[in-house]
Amino acid sequence: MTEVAAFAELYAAHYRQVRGLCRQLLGSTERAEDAAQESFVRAFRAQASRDPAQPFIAWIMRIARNHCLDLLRRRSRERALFGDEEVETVAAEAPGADGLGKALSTERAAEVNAAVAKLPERYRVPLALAYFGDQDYDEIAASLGITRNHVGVLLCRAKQMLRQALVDVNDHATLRVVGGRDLEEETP
Amino acid sequence: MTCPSEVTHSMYADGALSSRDAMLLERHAATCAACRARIEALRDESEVLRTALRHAEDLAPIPRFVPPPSARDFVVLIASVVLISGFSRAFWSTLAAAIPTELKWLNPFESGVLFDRATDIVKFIVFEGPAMWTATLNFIGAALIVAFVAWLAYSAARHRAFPGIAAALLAVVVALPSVGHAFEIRRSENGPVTVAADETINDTLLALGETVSIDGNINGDLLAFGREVTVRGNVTGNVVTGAQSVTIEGTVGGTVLGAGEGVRLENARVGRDFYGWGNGVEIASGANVAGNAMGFGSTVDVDGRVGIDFKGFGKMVNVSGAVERNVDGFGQTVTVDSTARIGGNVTGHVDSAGDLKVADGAVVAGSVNEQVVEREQRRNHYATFGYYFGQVIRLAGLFLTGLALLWLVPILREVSLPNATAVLRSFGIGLAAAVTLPVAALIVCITIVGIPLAILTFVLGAIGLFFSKAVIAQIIGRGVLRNRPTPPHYAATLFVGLVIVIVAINLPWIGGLANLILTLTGFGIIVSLIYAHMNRDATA
Repeated sequence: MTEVAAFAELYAAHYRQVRGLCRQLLGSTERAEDAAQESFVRAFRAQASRDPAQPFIAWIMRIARNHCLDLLRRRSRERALFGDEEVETVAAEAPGADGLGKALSTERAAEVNAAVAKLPERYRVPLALAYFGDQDYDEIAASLGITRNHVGVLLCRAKQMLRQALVDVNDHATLRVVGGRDLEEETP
Repeated sequence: MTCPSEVTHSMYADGALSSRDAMLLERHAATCAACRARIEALRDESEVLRTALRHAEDLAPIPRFVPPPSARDFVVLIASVVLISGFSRAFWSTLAAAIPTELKWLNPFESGVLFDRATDIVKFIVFEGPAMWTATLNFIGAALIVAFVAWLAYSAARHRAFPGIAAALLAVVVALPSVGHAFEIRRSENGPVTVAADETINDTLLALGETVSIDGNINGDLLAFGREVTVRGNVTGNVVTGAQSVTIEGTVGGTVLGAGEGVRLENARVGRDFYGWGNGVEIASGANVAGNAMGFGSTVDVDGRVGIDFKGFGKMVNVSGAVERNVDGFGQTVTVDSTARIGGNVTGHVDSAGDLKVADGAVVAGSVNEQVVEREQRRNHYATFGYYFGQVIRLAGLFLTGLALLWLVPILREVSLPNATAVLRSFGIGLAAAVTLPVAALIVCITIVGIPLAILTFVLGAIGLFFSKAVIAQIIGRGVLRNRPTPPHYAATLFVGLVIVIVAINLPWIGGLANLILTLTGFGIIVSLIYAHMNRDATA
């Protein structure tokens, strides 16, 4: 019983983060809840094999990530999922990266989240791993079985699409002015 | 130097450029304000993303942690079932003992009749349950085939573009001499489709209905599909029919092709040939086939007259009527009765010597040959048509019911057995559940209050065992179609898996074992899913 109680504490402390990763990766709250539960159940079963030197959060996040990627792979083949690097690169070379802008941060968090959820899987997954899972490009490349550069291209494209989506959603003028002015002032 | 691409900027902002590339970019950015601004914007953007993505999770409710079920939980479950049933039994017997004899009639549970009825129901489910399922399955399978054939015929009638099978079916009709040139379609969802005795149809008739009765005249071909097809009138062309029961009593100018559980020519006059497929195929004593007759079925009987040759394929082939030329019987036993008159030779391709029986009074103008087919090949049922027909029906039934199951319970489309341990575990759970469920149910059954629960357990167990093949087939099918560029529809994976499962459980020697393993593994998956689900519901 103590074993369960001890684990339940870890669970309570880290559930949100795990569920968050699952939601970002799977793009659905409902499936994220199931995936988070399943990840904790797997962790519970595999407790004996855990390296005590490793922080619990890193371990459970890895289990959740692997589980979600398994789920995604099961639904569609990996290569098809992440597309062709060359083709992606051409698409990502569109000019003009003004960023989402600092002003967007908190008040637009919900809009950003909604836009992320709407991204196609191939862009959402690396984005979630990078900015929610805090993984570096090499780790993402290894998890997804693609090259480091491909990760860069997918992330760049993901951010382009996000900007576009947010421009569509929001007041066009504000964004353009914020982004445009910065560039115009400093462009020689 | 031209400005680097956005991808390079983005990677630099995330600290993902190699040190050499990073240095080059920094050198460039030192002199390019646009790039500096861009990198700054991208850095901010990464930060915005980090903050925004985290933000959404802060308010998410945390459900209770549900530890996975352990073996101990299973033992506890069984033990509690036993204990509760024991207690309730003790309670009811104490209560019964406490009631004075004079008032016993007031106790409704004292009634022996009630108990007998209840045990009857349980016995019925235990002993008749599988048969009930098989019957249902057969009916569904037959209905599916009939529907499929009917659809093909319907497509043909509408001159739609359709694949080869439909073309073949049409070719059968076209190749045979036909009188009518147009189609008339009569259909009814539930009720009967009839052509009254005084009615004449000068077209080819396509009749689809629960029951199809043709009493009138059809100057053309007849295509009839339903549960029960009866032809008492006259058809100048051919008759192509599929139904659970097919009876032809009238006159058919052309050829009769009949498929069904029972196909019977009764007082029928068939101008050309007769081909019958089914469990029982019979040319009854009043029937007359002017051409050749061929029957495929579990039992094939000829009591009437066949104008040319007769070929019968089945477990039991029996001739007691008249065949003007040769008789070829392929079966476990081939019998020629004393009333039979055969104009040519009688050849029996049978299991073992003596299985071709020609009765004393039978008249055979030619010779009688008995050919013993190698026992190894013959004894197994793989050579009979009825066997394959049965398997196709089984496949169709499992497919249809499995499809309904996957449609209703989407989680079953996703279950998987990633490794050998998972297979073994599911098999173990399936075996344990298959053994303990009836035992637990019987124990529950001892107490009267437990009877409904016991019945429910039996019914659920039977349903679970029935569906286990569909569940396992879905997993197998998904494994097979794993490498498709687009994820296949669950109907496709189910069908592919079912074909493999049906073939596997019919393999010689190991088929039985395969059946046991597949069924119990599938059952184990179902039980674990239900258990996990109940557990979550109970504690959430």
